[in-house]
Amino acid sequence: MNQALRDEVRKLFETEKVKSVLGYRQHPLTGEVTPVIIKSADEADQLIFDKRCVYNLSRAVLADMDGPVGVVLKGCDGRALNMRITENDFPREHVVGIAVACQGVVDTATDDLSERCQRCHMRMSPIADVTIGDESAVGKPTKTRAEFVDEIRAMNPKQRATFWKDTFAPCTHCYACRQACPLCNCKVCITDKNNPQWIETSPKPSSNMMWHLIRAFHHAGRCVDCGECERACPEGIKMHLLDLCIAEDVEEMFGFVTGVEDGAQWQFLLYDPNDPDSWLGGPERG
Amino acid sequence: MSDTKEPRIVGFLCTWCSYTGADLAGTSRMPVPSNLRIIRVPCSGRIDPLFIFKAFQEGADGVMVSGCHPGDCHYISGNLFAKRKLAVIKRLLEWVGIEPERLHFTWISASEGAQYSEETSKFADQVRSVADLPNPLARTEVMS
Ligand code: SF4
Ligand code: SF4
Ligand code: SF4
Repeated sequence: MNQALRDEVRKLFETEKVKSVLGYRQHPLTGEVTPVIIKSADEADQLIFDKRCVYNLSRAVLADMDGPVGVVLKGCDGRALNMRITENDFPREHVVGIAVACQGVVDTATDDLSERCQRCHMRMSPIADVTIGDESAVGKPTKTRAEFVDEIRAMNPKQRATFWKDTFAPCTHCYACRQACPLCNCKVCITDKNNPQWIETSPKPSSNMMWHLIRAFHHAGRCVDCGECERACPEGIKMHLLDLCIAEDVEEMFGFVTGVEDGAQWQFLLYDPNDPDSWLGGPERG
Repeated sequence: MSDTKEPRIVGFLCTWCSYTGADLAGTSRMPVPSNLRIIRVPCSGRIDPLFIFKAFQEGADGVMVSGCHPGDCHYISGNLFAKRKLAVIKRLLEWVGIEPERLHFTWISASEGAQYSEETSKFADQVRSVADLPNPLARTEVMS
């Protein structure tokens, strides 16, 4: 895998298909796996890919980088990148997708297969200019997303309210979850607007709820379930669970899976005159 | 929150249909709940989820949104975009424990004063039935 990756990247530089490549390397001193940007064929030998490559590198692609930029992509990263291209963050030609056959990455805290990978149904990147590794060996999910939200589905409103209040209680509004998310791409985040100030910056139950609600709403139909938000949270808050809940509904209502189809728009930018009124609760009114 | 258990309701009405419909209900002297506070918006498509969340945070017990009937939107499709957004807002609020009774989305045209009167009264009763329950979005902290 590593050798194939290095050879391909070297070839991309030699044929001038890329100006730089975003990948992973093992830090020579600390041994940690970290993201790296390489700018020439000579540097390709430090690249690696294995189950410790947790980062979503699609977050690191910037429109003003000297392109085309090669990006090492797992399935989830590729879907995020696809969504960013659809949203006109940068043109498709700006990136060269180096899709790697992903067998899942570990949860850095426990070293077990991470939760997102247990339910991942699309382990190959939809953006794949070159493919590394054996696509047929990526394996299947062992869980469904529904299994993760069933616990909340079973609760009554009061239990749900208590559950989320406790979940969000340690939140310090540091917004690391926002910084890590490849799809938190607003020029100015709503949390940074203070006239009027919609989201209070001081942590307390009501402002925690405001932040996490609007975060989940802005990710409805856009979240690719890459799990970066939870990994980034210094408080270990499982805030991504709310994204999963709403993703269940978005898929049910709009029949839309994020980032899989090239150029598929965010569902809120579209409408269908036949969208049923029953979505709003109550009878058809016409 | 008041001790009288009389709920506070915020209604977002689009200026072209529902607000005019509310006006008609008023000028025709039809009964409308006195605890409904109307906020006029240019179009139901103008509704940002933050409006609804904020209303709950600031102590509303129920929120209602009403626009033109599909096909009658002054801006042609604003209410159709709104439908998708409102559907997701509703589901999201249910996930975090807002009782579905606290929300009401509807279409009311400028000529439907009677329907406005009837729907708002019904909604007020519905909200009254849950107004005593704690609202997970409401500010519980003491403001300085
Ligand atoms: S979510 Fe899927 S594509 Fe992403 S790291 Fe896990 S198994 Fe790989
Ligand atoms: S919300 Fe979390 S899981 Fe979803 S795309 Fe953003 S970082 Fe990834
Ligand atoms: S990273 Fe964690 S603590 Fe920081 S804002 Fe997000 S949920 Fe809150």
